[in-house]
Amino acid sequence: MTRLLLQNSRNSRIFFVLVLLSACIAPFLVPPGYLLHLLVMFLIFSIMALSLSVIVGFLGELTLGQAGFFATGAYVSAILAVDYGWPFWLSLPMAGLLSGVVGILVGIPSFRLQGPYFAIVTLGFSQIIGLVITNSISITRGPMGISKIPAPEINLPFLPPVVFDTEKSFYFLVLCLVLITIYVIRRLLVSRTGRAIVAIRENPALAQSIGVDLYKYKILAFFISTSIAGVSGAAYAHYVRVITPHLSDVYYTTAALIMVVVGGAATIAGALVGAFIFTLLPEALRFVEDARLLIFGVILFLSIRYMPQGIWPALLVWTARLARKANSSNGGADQ
Amino acid sequence: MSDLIAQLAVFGIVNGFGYAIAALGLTIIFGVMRIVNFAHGEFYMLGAFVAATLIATTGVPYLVAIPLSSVVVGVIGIASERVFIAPLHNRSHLTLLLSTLAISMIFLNAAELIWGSAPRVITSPFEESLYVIGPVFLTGQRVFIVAVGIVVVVGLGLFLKYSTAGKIIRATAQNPEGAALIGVNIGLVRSMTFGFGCGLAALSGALLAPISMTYPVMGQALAIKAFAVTILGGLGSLPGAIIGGLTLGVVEAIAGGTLSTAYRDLFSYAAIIIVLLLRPQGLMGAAR
Repeated sequence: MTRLLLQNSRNSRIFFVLVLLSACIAPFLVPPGYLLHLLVMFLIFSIMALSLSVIVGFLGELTLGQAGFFATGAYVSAILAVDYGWPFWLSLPMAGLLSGVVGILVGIPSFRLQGPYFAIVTLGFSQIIGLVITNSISITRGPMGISKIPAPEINLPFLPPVVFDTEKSFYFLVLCLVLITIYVIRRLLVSRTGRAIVAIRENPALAQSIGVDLYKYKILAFFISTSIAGVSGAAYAHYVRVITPHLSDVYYTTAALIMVVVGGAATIAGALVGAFIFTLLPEALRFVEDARLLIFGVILFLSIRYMPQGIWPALLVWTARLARKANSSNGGADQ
Repeated sequence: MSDLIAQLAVFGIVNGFGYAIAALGLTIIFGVMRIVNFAHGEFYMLGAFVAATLIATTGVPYLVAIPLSSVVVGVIGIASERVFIAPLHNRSHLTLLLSTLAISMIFLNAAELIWGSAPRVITSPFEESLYVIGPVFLTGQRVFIVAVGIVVVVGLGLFLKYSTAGKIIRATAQNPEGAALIGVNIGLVRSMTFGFGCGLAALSGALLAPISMTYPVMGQALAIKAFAVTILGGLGSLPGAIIGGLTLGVVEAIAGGTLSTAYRDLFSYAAIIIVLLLRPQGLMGAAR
């Protein structure tokens, strides 16, 4: 899979630029309002899906607690902004950092386990995070949630202030966050740390024998993943501007998990494709709105049954096969 | 104070039997198939709804509706295994877990479509009688739950130990290849076990329904409790599931009733985490 990507690295770079260009043009083509709102949600959930792909795709462990860190990030940033007047540009990184710290605290005990045990314990921790948010009323306002979260704004001297309070402006803000996330994850993957993480997935015993400290790298991967989840939560909080403890519901974990698994767990593009499908699909399925979860379940099953690597890798293999076929038929004609 | 604790402890034991029955299903499925069934809560929910529907449409008495509902849900479980799990049986844990997650989403949504999301009440004839044992008050339904719980536990133990089917199930759990070598149809055993485990979840749902509400998402909280119970007792261990269920029921009731109701559910999560950290093999020390 990675070899395939490397071989086509020039092609994939062109492809990336094309996608980026269309992402920049999209808000001007799409009518403002609901559709643009969906695109913003797609970008926010892309960050969430990317965070999950670090664990599910690259480390190869199933975590069911991601919504807990999404909620942590949202609450940290919202509380800092509303109660302490922090600007978004400081509260967002702080949300990522604190979610990551909570991630380390959760990871230290959880990574002593693996497989289904790890999945269950992370699920338990995210439920605990939800309970703490719901019941720490003096800090989080409990089940009522936090409202009137300020929109991000830039106040430079001698320039008019820029406020990101429309769908279009927020779209570009989150697009930058998505690009930063992709950059961070790509850098991570080619780094020593990233190679160690992938080695753990491929063969833990072998990785350990050549000196990779499994436990340390797993927790490091978890820190990175939960920080990114926290950032996506913070972005969500300042975009929707109202948050409730429901953000830690298993629903959000499942949603992100489906995006990652259906899109392609071990690829960055796969997570994005999955997020795109699952934020826009509900729109296409509006006529069966009540059966949405059922359809998601069926899609999840069909995808793990028939496309175990996910849609994106399946597409790549398919296009590569088409290209090879085209090449060989051309070669035949030349002779 | 001690009267209150006695009352809470008895309520906890009643709930604990409910948890234990559901957890027995979960642990049998894990023992034979090595799958953590994330749809277990949904089969529990289906048990309650199917019983309610049977009572409402055919007018069968509650006592008949319970076993009928377990059988119906058991058959649904077998069908689910054939469709969603059997084709994936040689794939990774992660894939199988995701597949049960898909089952859970499908049944949760289907239940909302069929029955609506409003809670409903199942009335049991046992609710009318009241028993007073010293300082403790118990409705007939709670006594009934305990009685059924004991019958199920004993019956299941005898079934697994002495019946041919039970021996086949145990053989498959211990060594699938070995069992296949001596002519056991492993695929069939897997389907049956899954259906059996789901039937137990349904039985628990139909039993607890009269003392709680019946609504589509009711299974989610129970699923986590059933995980907690099986982990407390050790995944795959039957005595562990029973002891785990009763322990969780009592601890949850007493701590919830005297310390903090807001954090009542916290105890099951805390129990999972503490036990996994101190004794990953579970309290009963079953092999992982």
